Amino acid sequence: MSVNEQAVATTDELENGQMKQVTVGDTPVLLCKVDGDYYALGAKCTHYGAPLADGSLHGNQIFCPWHQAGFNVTNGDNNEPPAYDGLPTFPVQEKDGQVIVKVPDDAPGRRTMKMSHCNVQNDTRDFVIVGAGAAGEAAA
Amino acid sequence: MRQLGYEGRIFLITKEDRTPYDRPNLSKEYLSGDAPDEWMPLRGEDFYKKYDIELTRNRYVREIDIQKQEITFADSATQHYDELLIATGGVPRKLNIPGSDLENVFTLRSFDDADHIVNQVGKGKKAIVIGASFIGLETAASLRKQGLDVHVVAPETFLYEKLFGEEIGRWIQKKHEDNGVKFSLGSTVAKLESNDGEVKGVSLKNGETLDADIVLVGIGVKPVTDFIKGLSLESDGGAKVDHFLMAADHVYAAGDIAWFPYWRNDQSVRIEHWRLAQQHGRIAAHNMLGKQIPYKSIPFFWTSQGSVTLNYLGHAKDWDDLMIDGNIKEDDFMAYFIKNNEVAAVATPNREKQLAAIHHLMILDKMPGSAKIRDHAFDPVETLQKI
Repeated sequence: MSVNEQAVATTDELENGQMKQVTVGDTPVLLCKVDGDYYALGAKCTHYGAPLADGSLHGNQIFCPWHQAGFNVTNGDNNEPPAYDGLPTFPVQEKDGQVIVKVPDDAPGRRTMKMSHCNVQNDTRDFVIVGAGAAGEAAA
Repeated sequence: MRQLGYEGRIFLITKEDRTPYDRPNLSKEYLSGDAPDEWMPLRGEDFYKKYDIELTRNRYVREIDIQKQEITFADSATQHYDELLIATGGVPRKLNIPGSDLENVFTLRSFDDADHIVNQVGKGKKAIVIGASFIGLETAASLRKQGLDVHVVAPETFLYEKLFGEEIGRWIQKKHEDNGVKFSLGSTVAKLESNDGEVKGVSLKNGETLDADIVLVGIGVKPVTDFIKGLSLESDGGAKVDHFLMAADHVYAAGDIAWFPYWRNDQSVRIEHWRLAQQHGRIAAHNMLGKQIPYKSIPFFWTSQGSVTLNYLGHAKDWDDLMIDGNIKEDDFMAYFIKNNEVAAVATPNREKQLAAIHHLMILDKMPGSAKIRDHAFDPVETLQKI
């Protein structure tokens, strides 16, 4: 697996709350600036693939332009549906006035959020969800 | 609940024969033949196994006894629960007129419903859609895309007049007409005509008859709650919940069935949209685990109408005034639905960046009053930047 390392912006290019889509290797990457720091993430919404750069960023919260899925851009976590997977995040380094992003060649466009497993030694409760539509699935 | 670290057992029970799927797409790309089967499941089958979510399919609940904290299934087996989420959604309302049970008269709610329609599409030429609901009109557009002649019959004069107003209703109608969909508005169906048990057309109350090989009935859904014992229900069958989506001790209700207090105006509302149900599911999960998290998000839905998609953010049960910024005829506008001088909801087919900015502003409670919008002095993106 090779990693593409690329300068994608100058360090003063974005203001806080601004973002832009760049390409590293073949991967579209969303570059955001929050509280003086740059963050690099997958550029496409994990719901239907909208370009998140066309959405709205405020603080660390981004909303997708198509169906209002929400993500925290500092860690890529999904926090509003209809998406449920998080965005991949990529290492960012500021060096000599340049913002440098490292993206592996085969970077996936989504990642499953961190989840627990069942362990009845720790928790003996039974939770039941009747109905496996939008609400039921999201609750599980 | 697994994302929140819960380690007890989770039983996810469905009467259907499938893993959870992308329901909004059924009436849209799936029905128009543009969505391959692999787009439809939300997650792979192995996901539920991997995270110990005990998905049980083809399982019918006969009764839930709130006092006993017990579920009885159709085969009389019982199961105790410590916490319960009722997320049973709705069943399509049926027409109560002669001929409603004929072959090739469909409703659309489940994946199987969509497949039944898809299987019939190649065999018929003419479709009639009864009801100008979201399901009705999205189905009309998808069947038209499949090459069928499509005729919509509905009692209202303008599409979605109560929800979107006359002007947007006319615009939506024109989008469908431009695609070749025909309308009989202000019309009520008296009877479905039979040809040896199969539907062959509909008779309207005004005496007119229309030929059909397929009839789709899209006149809304009814909450599925009739199996709950010990919970008083609203007149429409919905279940009243508090800010935390709790309906009774150890019982939560979410999605289409839930009458919940909407935090922006404290009105009790019931909203039948996909994304809201997902939001509810997440909130209910927190609260089943003992947190006290109220629903404080913004409802949103999207609907495909002919060649356009309308995106609607917020919620206006009714509104006093509708202000439109932009030009409806050119498909470029933001509609503001005003209630008590405040923006209760907005709708747009194209202004995506503005819409996402308004989402932030609504959450931050920083939307301007109606005067600023009337003066066209509101730029959502700029306003957000200044906060």
